[in-house]
Amino acid sequence: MSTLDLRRDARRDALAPLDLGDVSAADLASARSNWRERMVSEHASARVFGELVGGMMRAGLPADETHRVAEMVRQELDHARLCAKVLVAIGVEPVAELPELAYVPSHEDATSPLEAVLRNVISIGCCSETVAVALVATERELAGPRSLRRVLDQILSDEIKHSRFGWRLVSRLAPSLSVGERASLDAYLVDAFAHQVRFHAPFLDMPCAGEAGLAVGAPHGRSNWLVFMATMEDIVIPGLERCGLSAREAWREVAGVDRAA
Amino acid sequence: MTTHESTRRSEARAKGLRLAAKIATCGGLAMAALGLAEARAAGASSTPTHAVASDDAKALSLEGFKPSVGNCGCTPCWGPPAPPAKTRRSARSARPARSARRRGAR
Repeated sequence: MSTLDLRRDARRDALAPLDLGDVSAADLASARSNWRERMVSEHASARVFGELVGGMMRAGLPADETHRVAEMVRQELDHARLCAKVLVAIGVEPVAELPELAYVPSHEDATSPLEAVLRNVISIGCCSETVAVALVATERELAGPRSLRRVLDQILSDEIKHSRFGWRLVSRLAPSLSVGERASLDAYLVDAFAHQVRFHAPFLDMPCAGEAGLAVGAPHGRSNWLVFMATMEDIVIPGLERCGLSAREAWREVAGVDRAA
Repeated sequence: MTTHESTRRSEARAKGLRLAAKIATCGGLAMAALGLAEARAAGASSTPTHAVASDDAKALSLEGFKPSVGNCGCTPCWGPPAPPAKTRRSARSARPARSARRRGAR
């Protein structure tokens, strides 16, 4: 376990302290916890994009796309710095424990380097980042202080690039997959979707902040869960089906398993 | 929780979903996805009192998706999962066997 300390970064172009007068103690604690976790999460997600670069090279994908992914590494690190500035503005030191981080899978069991990288592109770009766009855009609508909206605008504009990258690659490359590659990728969708559900299910146990709390970034767990489910069912699944993948069948399997559990 | 707050959240969600739909989709599918997001928004804003109840009810109705084990949401888990070892199927025809295994595992 190491420590992520972004105090120096937060001091550069620091945000003015936010007016927290209307925010309840519980919502303020929730907002502080949310921004701290987001700082760590954004920082750690940089490594996921870093690993993606290698997979893209192995699959022989276009150099300009690989270059864009390398830029995404920097963007995620920048998001962590932005979160650090918000933390200071709501009265918290931007210091947190950085947990031991899992390795990003290289999918050696995949049928080809292309299928291997598409597994990660779908999981990251089409699923995680598309959900992130919907969640951050929702949060941005409810944000109060102008400085906070600017931070969320910056994060959102990058998440849009990350999501668009995923859909661009999958829509271009999926049609050229062999029957075997497609079958293997379809099978992976069950794992990818189950992971999405597991990752986002804690929303259901989160508190639901009031309007003043939402304005400074306290979460509303049930609302976030609705955003997640709607994004998966109305956007991600139909989008992957459009690319020729059996996403609906995979989602049904995940839903059936979890509802039966 | 007030009706006003619930309506604001519904409208904010609709905007978020609309943006995600624009990015994720192309051609005719985009219109379908946008239509879904807009339908949700219209339903929430035209019947705000009902929306208060449906907001919670909808979330609860979707709780069935919540895994009984393995919830995370933690930082190290953001990213693609590795498939379970030695259980990869080589074709979709193997789906029933996989389903049974997964149900048993939980």
